[in-house]
Amino acid sequence: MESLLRVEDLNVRYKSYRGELKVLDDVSFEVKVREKVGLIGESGCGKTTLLKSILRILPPNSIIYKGKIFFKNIEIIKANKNEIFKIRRENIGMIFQDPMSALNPFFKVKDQLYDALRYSVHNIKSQQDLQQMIIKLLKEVALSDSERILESYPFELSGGMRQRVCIALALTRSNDLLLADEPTTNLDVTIQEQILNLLRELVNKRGLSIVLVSHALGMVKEFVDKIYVMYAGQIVETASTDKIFSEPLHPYTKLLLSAVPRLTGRWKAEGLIGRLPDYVNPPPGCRFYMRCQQSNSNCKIKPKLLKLNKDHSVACWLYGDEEH
Amino acid sequence: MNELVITGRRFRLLSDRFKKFWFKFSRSSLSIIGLIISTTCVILAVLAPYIVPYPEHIEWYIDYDNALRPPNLEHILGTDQYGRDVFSRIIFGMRYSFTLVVVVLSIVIPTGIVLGVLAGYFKDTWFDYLIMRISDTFVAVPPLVMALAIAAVLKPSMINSMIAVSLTWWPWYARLTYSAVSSLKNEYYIIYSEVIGVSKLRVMFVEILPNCIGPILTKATLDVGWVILVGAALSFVGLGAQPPIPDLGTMVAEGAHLLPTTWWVSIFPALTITIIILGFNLLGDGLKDVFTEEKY
Amino acid sequence: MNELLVVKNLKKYFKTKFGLVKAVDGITFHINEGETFALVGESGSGKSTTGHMIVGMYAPTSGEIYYKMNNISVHASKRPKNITREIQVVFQDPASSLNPSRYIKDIIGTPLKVYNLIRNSTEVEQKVADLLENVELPPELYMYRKPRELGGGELQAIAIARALSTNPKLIILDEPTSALDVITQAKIINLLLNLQKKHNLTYLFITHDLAVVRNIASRVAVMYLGKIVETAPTIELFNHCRHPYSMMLFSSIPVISEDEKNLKPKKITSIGEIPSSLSIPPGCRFHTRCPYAEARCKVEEPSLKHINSGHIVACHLAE
Repeated sequence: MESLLRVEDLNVRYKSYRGELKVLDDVSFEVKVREKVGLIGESGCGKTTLLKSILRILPPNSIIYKGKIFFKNIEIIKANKNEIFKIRRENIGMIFQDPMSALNPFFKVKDQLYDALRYSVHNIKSQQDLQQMIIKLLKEVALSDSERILESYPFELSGGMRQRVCIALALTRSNDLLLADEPTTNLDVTIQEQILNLLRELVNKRGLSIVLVSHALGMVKEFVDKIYVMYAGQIVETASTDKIFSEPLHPYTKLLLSAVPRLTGRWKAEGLIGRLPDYVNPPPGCRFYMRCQQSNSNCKIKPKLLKLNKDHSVACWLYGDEEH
Repeated sequence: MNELVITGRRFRLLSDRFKKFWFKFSRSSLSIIGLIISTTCVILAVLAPYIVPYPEHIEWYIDYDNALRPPNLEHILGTDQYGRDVFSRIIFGMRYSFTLVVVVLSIVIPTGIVLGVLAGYFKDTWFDYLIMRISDTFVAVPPLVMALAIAAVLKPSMINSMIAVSLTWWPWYARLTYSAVSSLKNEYYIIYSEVIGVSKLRVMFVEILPNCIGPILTKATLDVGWVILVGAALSFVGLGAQPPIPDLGTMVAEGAHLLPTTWWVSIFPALTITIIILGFNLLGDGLKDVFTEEKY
Repeated sequence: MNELLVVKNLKKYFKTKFGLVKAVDGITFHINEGETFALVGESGSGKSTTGHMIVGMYAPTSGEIYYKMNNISVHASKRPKNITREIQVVFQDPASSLNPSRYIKDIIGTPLKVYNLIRNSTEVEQKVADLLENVELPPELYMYRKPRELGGGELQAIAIARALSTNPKLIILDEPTSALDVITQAKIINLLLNLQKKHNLTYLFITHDLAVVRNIASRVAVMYLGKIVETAPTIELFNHCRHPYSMMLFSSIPVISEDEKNLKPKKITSIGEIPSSLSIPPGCRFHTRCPYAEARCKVEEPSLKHINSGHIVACHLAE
């Protein structure tokens, strides 16, 4: 399959009063055409930073220290403003975690959709045409009562409806790739399921690729083809979804899986000691080393992401040969 | 637990907080310029008697031989119609202006805060309506007009202009505190402290108030300039400090009829007012950036 | 078993400018001493309002709350101090339940002072240090920090330390982990379980996450639109849930292993959203979303049926 988005050795740092926070450390990441990719890891491990650097919407105190991001042969980091705006308008859409702050509270849903469409779709002939498109869009995200919703302000809608509107907004901009940053975290389980089913349907129907960031592992499992596990700004393991859940290799992946509460009831998460390292002075080797129960002296040297077989790579000294 | 370790950590946390403050503040070079201007002005005003070249020129002093000299090496900003050194008088004028600011703000801020906290905490009670309607009345009239009206009733003097400015100014602080408090009082940490039975006064002034300090401090900084301006305006129309007190407003007024030929007599005091206001506004903007919480 | 807390026909209506909101509309349950009782439901089901009434954040509209046989259906300020001391609360969002401008020491020290649990100010520091150690936070690192300098998991641990400071018997946990990621959630849950054993605590666990409930609760009540639709011991509920709403909640839990999938009841796809409590549907409140709804569900409100020991269901279809 053809590659759509390729991130190579990306290093992103934030300026802070204590020095530079070295958040992303040599992150390499790939999304192929029509592929569903999951990105998992605990809060603060750089998942959102990675998504934001793809769209170049990082906060002003950030520095892209090193690395390349290719989107369909366009180098996003070197691209000029117009190219970036064009990509944001037409190719990559993003769904944010908090639908309330992603919508402007002062404008009706209608106006926000109207604006989004006006900038990203070129062949609008008339006002009626636009109206038709908006209603069609709302139908697609399963908002049936479109008349009322179009005339509502965001605060008049429930959390689930707001997220649907956000998805509709993102859809206007994404002809290729959808970045979903914890799209269901703030919603109830029943609504989570609905939103996820909707996203799956839309992505399949439109032939989009999607990057789903979440720490709800069960959700990710049902949704994606391939998973990247991130810890403290490094990709520690990547494999097909089944592989990650059936034979996780990296100690962090195992830890993450053991922390998920099980319906079987035998849930006793072990080894949850420690916390994310300080990004100002991260450990030079494997960043998980301080928390890892299987660590040895090798771990003070940084392990590379080692390809074990066709669809399973892991960055850990426990696997592979000496030369790594 | 080791006392020394804790004290050491505490000190480090404090210095950390200061570093963070400085990091946020210094991101904008304009805030630094504001800080430099405003501290320079304050230092000049405080040290005025020791640094001005002609301290005797401040009030009653007449030397017609040197009257209306343009800026030269001896008198860097020239002399006025009585031969007094404009530079010395400006520095002392700043001293008076800052006195006005200190007196006014130290009356206005505590009053405003106390009334605002009480009204905000007892929102939708008679006390809230009383305080807020009174402050509405004051806020409805522009502060300068209000101050002029009050000052006109009182006898023109430095003290009375302080009273006039203070009377017009407290509602702004009351309203600022009121809006902050009435939204904060629904936070869970306030509800929790009420549930466990912390006394109302403690809830208001220990739990809620520290969370509103940011905007109040910012407003106070911005207000330094505006209070000086209103004070100068009162003096300019003759309702504030009376000659020969070297008030900046009075000085502008005295020099106004000499314009445009002997421009330095009134332009330099006016310029000083502008610079002070500019400096404190830039400083206030910088503080606002610091107090606005950011995600990163 | 000893009933620590009994709630009888509790109601809470809020007057708003849009009309009367029936947040909690007549619920009855009890919590035994030493157990973890879970209150489950979507947002808008009234589960948090129930918890808040037990803490005393507001007085009920009608109905009673008994704590150790004492009627406490009033605002906390009217309750005896030894009772408010014994009922503590941990909120969902630690960032809004801990005062951002105060030191951790003062935050945890406030209840100590209010309930006269310490004699002088040097004792505060010692006691706070003990409490922080109790929740596995090194005191020298946290004592003089402020909440905004800390992460969600640490803050929630501090909120728990504050709740523990008064030696409570009952702790209301209002979605304590739903703002946290899986690893932090596991840490906090482990902590809560250890503390429960150590201090013989009783928990009222309010959540929408059934997977967590399965692992820590002994009994569960499922709430929908201000009513309890099903109450049962956890194992019983997970094996034989009877109310279609409970089934819907179950089938929407995302799981990560095959044996969990087999535990889930027959798939009920979730449809629609919880209606607003301003306009509660007549009859069975759930009939608008229920795949099994019959004609009588739309008119007749189901009564509570005792299925077997401790399993109560409000559904016409459960026999």
